[in-house]
Amino acid sequence: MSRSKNLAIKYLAAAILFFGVMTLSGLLSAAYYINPQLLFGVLPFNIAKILHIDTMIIWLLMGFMGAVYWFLPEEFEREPVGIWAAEILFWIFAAAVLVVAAIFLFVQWGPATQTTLWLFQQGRKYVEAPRWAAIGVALVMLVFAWNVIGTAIKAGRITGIMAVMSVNMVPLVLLYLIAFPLIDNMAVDLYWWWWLVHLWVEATWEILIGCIMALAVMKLLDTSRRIVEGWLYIEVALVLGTGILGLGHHYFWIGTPDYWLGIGGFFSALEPLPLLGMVVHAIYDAGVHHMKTTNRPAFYWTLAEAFGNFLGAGVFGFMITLPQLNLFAHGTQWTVSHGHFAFWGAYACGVISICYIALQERRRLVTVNGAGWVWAFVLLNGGLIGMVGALLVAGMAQAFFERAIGGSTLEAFIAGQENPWFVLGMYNRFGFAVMFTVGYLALVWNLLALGRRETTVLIQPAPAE
Amino acid sequence: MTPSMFIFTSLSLGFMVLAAGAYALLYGAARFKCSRVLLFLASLAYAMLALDAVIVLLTTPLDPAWKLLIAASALAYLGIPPVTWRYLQRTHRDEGAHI
Repeated sequence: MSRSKNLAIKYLAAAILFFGVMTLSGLLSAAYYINPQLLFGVLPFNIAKILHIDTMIIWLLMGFMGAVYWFLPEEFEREPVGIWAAEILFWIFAAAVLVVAAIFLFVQWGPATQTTLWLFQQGRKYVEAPRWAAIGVALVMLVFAWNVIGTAIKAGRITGIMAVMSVNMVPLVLLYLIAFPLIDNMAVDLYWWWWLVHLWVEATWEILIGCIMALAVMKLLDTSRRIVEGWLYIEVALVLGTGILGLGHHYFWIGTPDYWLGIGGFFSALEPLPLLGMVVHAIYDAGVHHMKTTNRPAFYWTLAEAFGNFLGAGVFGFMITLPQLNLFAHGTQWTVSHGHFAFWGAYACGVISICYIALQERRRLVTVNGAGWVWAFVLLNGGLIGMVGALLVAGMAQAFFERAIGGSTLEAFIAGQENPWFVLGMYNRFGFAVMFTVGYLALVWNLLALGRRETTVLIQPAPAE
Repeated sequence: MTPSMFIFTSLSLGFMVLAAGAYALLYGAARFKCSRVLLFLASLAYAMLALDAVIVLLTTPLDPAWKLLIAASALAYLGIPPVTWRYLQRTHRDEGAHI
């Protein structure tokens, strides 16, 4: 197995590990809503939440990188340029994430000084990691881009998918640099911060996962490169057409000019349209292949990606995207339900699918099937759907009682938090979060056991002549 | 906008996209299976979408510009599944793998 593929396995393993950290810190965050006294004086809610959302970014990013390192040698028929640097940086990256997690857990906060900024945390949501760690992430991204673009140049040839991926590396690196400036005007700070959060997630990540899933579909369903690349170009056009200016839906209430209400609302409302095409495509592929594939878990996780993306980003997003409605719903658990569902559908399912594809080849399995993956699939998806449903109910109660009736006063906020619908939603969310955690354990168990059970078939080496 | 109308409008918009998804799903399945029943169900799903869009247009206090966008979206939802399906068939036929 090539060095790049070995590195890919390491990245995918690290991704699954940090997926676990994200899940446990999410479970803990959910528990605070039921018992606000929990771990009082030891670990505050905000730290558990930071761990939850930061590891969400990290595990998905590591999953993407693992997927790219997996496919690179196949696409270019050679080891990536600078693979040695990527191998070294993997260990530094993983160690840095663990050190930052330890800082969050044991140091937690510091005075408003440069020392805190550089050593403990930057305090900006999603990019709380201290500057030394942010520099590390930027370096990892830079080497990652070098691996992809450099290999394309060195190979002297490029496929359509790798061309899209190579171009996408430029904004992927540049946008992360927004994690660094210290801007003391909150409106200006949020204006640029959303470039990082939204444009990374709804532009560069969308294109990156599009490229990864294009390669996955070619491997899983033996779909021709020409078809896959044709759809990838359409997706890129749609992402550029709706996703970039969809950024405006984050600008509604942060102090930006009024025209963002129109721009943000309009382009966000267009975002479900391409997702509908994706649903039709998923049906077509599933039908053409009669749901038959040598790797059922990977195939089903790919389908879950298509439908989860449609429901999470499309349905849940459209409910709250128009400014007149977003005025009441933003910042409530309603937004949280949309965020959970959209991230799960758009990215998490895809990374899990890649894990199965990589393991099939790594462990030389002709087919991958069995009951283990079904348990993981049902528990994870069931838990997630239950969670977002409960959050939706809680968020609607907040938007209705706290915002629309109460007028967003402190008293209304407290009344909203004590409302039976909100409380019921929080209890249900915790219950489904437990289910999700059990699903995670089932997934880990299945990934570890794959190839060691009778449900899988090993490729037999050819007998010696 | 009253609190009740806010919830009603929001749920109506969510339902509209959900109905669009059901329409796409059933349309794809109907074309794949050459099933009139599924095609009828797909039409029913789109009818619900259209009805929902009309209710949003007539009863909610959304600004006229948003109502126009919703009406245009409802029409676009009608066309996306057939257009996508035809494109899929054409590309797969060219590759000799069409259904």
